Amino acid sequence: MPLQEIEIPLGIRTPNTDGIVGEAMVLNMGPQHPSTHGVLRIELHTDGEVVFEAIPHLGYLHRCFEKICEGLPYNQIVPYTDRLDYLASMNMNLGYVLAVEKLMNIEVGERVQRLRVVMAELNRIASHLVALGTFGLDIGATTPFLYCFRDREKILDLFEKACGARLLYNYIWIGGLARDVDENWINECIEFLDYFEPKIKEYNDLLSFNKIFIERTANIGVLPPEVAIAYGCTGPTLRASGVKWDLRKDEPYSGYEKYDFNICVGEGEKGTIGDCWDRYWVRVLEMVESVKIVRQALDNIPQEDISAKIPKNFNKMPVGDVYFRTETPRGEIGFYIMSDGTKTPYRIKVRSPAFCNLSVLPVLARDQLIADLVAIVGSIDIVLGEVDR
Amino acid sequence: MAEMRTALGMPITHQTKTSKNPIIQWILDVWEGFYTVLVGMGVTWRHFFRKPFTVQYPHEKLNIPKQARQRVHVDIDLCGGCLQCDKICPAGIIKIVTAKPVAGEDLGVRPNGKRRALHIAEFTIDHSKCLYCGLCETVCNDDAIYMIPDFQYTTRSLEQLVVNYSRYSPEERDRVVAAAAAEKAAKQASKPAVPQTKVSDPQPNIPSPSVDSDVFNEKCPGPDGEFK
Amino acid sequence: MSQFNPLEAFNLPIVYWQIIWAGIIVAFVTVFALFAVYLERKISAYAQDRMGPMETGGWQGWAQTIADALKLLLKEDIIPELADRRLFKLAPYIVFAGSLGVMAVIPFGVNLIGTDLNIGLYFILALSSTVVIGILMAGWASNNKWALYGAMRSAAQMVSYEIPIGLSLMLPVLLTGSLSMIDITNAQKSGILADGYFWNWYIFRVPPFTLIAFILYFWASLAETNRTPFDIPEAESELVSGYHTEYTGIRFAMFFLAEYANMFIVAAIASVVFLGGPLAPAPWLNWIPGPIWMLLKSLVLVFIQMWLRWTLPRVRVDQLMHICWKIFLPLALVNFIVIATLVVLWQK
Ligand code: SF4
Ligand code: SF4
Repeated sequence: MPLQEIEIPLGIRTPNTDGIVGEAMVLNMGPQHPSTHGVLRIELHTDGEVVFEAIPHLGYLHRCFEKICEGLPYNQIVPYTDRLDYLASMNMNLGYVLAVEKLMNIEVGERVQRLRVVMAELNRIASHLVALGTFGLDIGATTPFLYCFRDREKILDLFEKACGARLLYNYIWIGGLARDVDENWINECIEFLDYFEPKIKEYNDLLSFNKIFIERTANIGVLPPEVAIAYGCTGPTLRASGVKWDLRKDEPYSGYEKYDFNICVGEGEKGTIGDCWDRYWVRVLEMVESVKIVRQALDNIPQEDISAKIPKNFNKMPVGDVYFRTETPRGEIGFYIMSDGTKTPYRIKVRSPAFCNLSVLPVLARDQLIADLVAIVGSIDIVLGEVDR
Repeated sequence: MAEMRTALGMPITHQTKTSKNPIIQWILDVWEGFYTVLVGMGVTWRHFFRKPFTVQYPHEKLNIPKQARQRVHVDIDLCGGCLQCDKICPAGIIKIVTAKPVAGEDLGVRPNGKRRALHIAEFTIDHSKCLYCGLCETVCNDDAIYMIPDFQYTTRSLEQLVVNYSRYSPEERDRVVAAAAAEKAAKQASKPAVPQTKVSDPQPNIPSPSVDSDVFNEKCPGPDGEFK
Repeated sequence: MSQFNPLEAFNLPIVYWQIIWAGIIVAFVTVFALFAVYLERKISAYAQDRMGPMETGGWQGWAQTIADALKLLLKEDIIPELADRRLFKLAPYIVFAGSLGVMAVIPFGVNLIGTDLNIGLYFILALSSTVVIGILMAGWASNNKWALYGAMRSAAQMVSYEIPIGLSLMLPVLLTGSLSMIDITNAQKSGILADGYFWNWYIFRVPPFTLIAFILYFWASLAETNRTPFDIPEAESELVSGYHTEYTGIRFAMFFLAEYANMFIVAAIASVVFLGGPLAPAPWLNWIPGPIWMLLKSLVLVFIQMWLRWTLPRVRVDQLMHICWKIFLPLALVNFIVIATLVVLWQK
C-alpha cells in the first residue's frame, strides 16, 4: 500500500451510530498513567470503551541530546548515548561508536568486535526481558514481570563485573572498549546462558501460551507489512509483520556475518501476522537467537590489546559526514554525524527506532478498545528516553 | 525450528487444536483455557517453595564488584594538578584551582614518588551532576581520581554533594592563588613570561550561549514593561 | 462442641445476641482484612521469588498491614473539588454495608449464626447486589473519567455474573429443598454413603455436576469480587485504579476492607454450600470445633483466589462478557436442568 492510501487520522471524528450523533469523550492517558512506559501522553478520543483516535504527545523527556553533542568532543559523547535508550545502552554505544569509526576509518581487532557483539546481544536479551515483563504487566500479569527482572538482574551483574555500571555502561569506546574481560567473566557468562535457556520455557508456560494472554493479544493491533514499512517501523515491530529485515544479517557490522542465527519473523501462529502476540513472540524467539550468538562469539575468543586502536585525541578529524545504522532491540538506530574537522562534531542526528515505531500508534489504535490500546502500546515497546532524546 | 518450538514449550502445530464443529471447538477452547490456567498455576506453585531471589537490603548486601562505578573519589595526595580529568569530564563538574609555589617554596613529594609541582588549591566535584562514566578515571596518569563502589552517599540537600577534596581551606586557597599571581605580576614586570597560574574554567566543555548581555538587556522589557 | 447453641447457653434475648454478633462480625472482618492483605503480600512475594514485608514488627513483618492501616486512617481525606460530595461520601458506606450485611447469615458453627433466615441464600444474593450501587456511585461522584469507566465496567460485570452464581448456588438448594444456610449445612451431614464423612458434602454429592457447579461458582465469584483475572473495574494498567481512583485515606480503606471482606464472604458461601461449612471431613475429627473448620475451608479458598491472582493475566471487558454468557451460563443451565430432573425423579 503506498503511503498516500493510508488514512492518516486528522482532527477529531465524532462517533455516528445509527444517526445518533454523540459527543466524543477526550481522555488523557499519561504522562502519569501506569502503562505508558514512561512519560508518554496519549490523547484518546473515545466512544465508551472504544478509542477511535489516539494521538501521542511527546517531549516530556527531551534532553537536547543532539545539541549537547555539538559542544562535546567525540569520545565524551559516548556516555550521553547511554541515555538514549537506557534499556539497551550497549547497543546505543555500539551504534554511535561504529559511526565515528567509519568516519575516522578505524578497524578494530577481532576480540574487540566479538566482545562488542557479546555485550550488544546480552543487552538485547536484557531489553527484551523488560519488554516481555512490562507487556505482561500491561495485560495484567504481574508475576512474569518479576521473573523477567530476576533474570535481567543476572545480566546486569555480568555487565557490572565487566564495566562497573549496571545501566549506563559507557563501555564501547571509539576504537576499542573501556575495560577488558577476563576468563572468569567469560565462564560466568556461559553459566548464565545455561541458566537462562530453560527459563524461557517458564515464561512461556506462565504467559505466552496462556489462553487468556493469547485472547488478549492475538488478532489485536494488526500491523500489515505495507503499513509497517510505510511508517518506517523497524526491529521486532517490523519483523512481527512478516518482513525479514534485520541489519545484523542484511548489512552486517562488527562481524555479525560470521555468526549463525535466524531472523525471527511473525507467522501469525495464534492469530493474524503482525498482531500483538506476534510482536511479543518475535522477542521471545530473538532472545533464543541472541543466546546462540553470544555462545558463538565467546567460543575461542582471541587475546589481544583491546585499547590499541583508541585514538589519543580528536584534533584531526576527517571533514565530511557519515551515516551508520545498527540493529538495536527496538529496531534500527542511525547516527548521522557531520564533521567539520574540529574535535567536536558539527551536527549529530539520531534516527531513533522507538520514535518511528511509535508513529504507527494512531493507525493501530484506531477503533480499538482501551484495554487493547494498552496492549498495543506495550507491544511496540517504546523507551521514552529514545523517543524524546 | 520445530525442535526449538518444543524446547520452548510450544505445540508444533499452529493452532493447538481446531475443529469445524462449533460445539467441539467450544469445548476445546474451554478446555485449553482451563488447562493453561492450571499450567500457569503449577509454575507459580513451584515458586512458592523456592528460595527468594531478593535479599533484605540493609541487613544483607550483595557483593558489589570492586570495579563498580558508583562514586568518584579523589586521592588528593596523589593528584599532580594536570587538569586532564577536568578536560575530559563530559558533564564539566570538576573544578580544579592550582597555583604555582612561590620561589623557594618546596611542596614535597607525592606518595607515588613524584615531586609536587603545584598547589591543588581547590578540587571540587559536584557529585549530583556526575554521569558515572568513568572517563576521569581513565585519563588520570597518577591514579588520583577513581571510581569506588560506594553507593550510600545520600544527602539532605544538593549542595552537600558538592565536595571539595583539596586540603586547602578557602583562605589558604586565596592566599596561594594571590601569592602566585603576585609573583607572576612581579616577573611580568621584569620580563614577559609564560603564564604560571592556571585557573580552570568551571564548565569548560559545555558551550555557554553567546548572549551579549548588553544586547540582551536592550531587548528585554524591564519590570515596568518598558524597554530600558 | 458443634452442638453449642449460644442462645441457650447464655439465655439472652435474641436482640442482644444479634447486637453482640454484629460487633463480633465487624471486628472479625477488620482483623481478617488485615490478615488477608498480609497473606496476599506474602503469597505474591513467594510466587515471585521475593520475600514481601519483612521489617515492621519483627518476625516476617507481621505488623506491616497494621501499620499501613494506621497510615491510611491518618491520611488527609481529599474530596475532589468537582466531585458530587454527598454521593462521594456515601458510596464507601454502601459498599461496606452491602458486604458486611451478608455476614449475618453465614453460619460459623452449626448453631453459630447471626440470624438463620429461611431465605438465607436469597438474602445473600440480594444484598451482595447492592454493592454495585455503591461502586456506581463512587465512580460517578468522583467526576473522574477513569473512575467512571471502572464503575461502568463493574456494573456490567457484577450484574452479569450474578446469573451463573445464582444458578450454581441453586443446585444445593434443589438438593436440600431449603434456602436456609443452616438447613443446607445440616443436609450435608448424611447421604447415601456413611454419615459424617466428606463425601456427603454437596461438592461430591452428584458427580460431576455439583463439582462443575462449584468450579463455576468459584470462578464467577472472582468476577463478583473484582479479582484477577476479572479485575477489570480496577485494572490498574488500564484504568489507573478504577472506581476508587479519587479516594484517599479512610474512605479508600473502606473500599479496601469491603474488597477483602467480599473475598472472605464468597469463600465462606462456597464452603458452606459446597464444602459442608462447619462440618468436619470425618467423624473422628469432630473434636475440632466447627468454626475452625469453617475458617480453614474459607481460607483455603481465599488462598486459591490469591494464587490465581498472581498467576493470570486479566481478560478484556468484552471477553469477560463472553465468558459469562457463552461459557458459564450454558454450563450452569445444563447443570441446573440435570439436577432438577434428578431431584424430581428421586422424589417420585
Ligand atoms: S565519572 Fe564522568 S561525569 Fe563523573 S566526574 Fe568523572 S568524568 Fe565527570
Ligand atoms: S587527572 Fe589526576 S592528576 Fe590530573 S588533575 Fe585530575 S586527578 Fe589530578
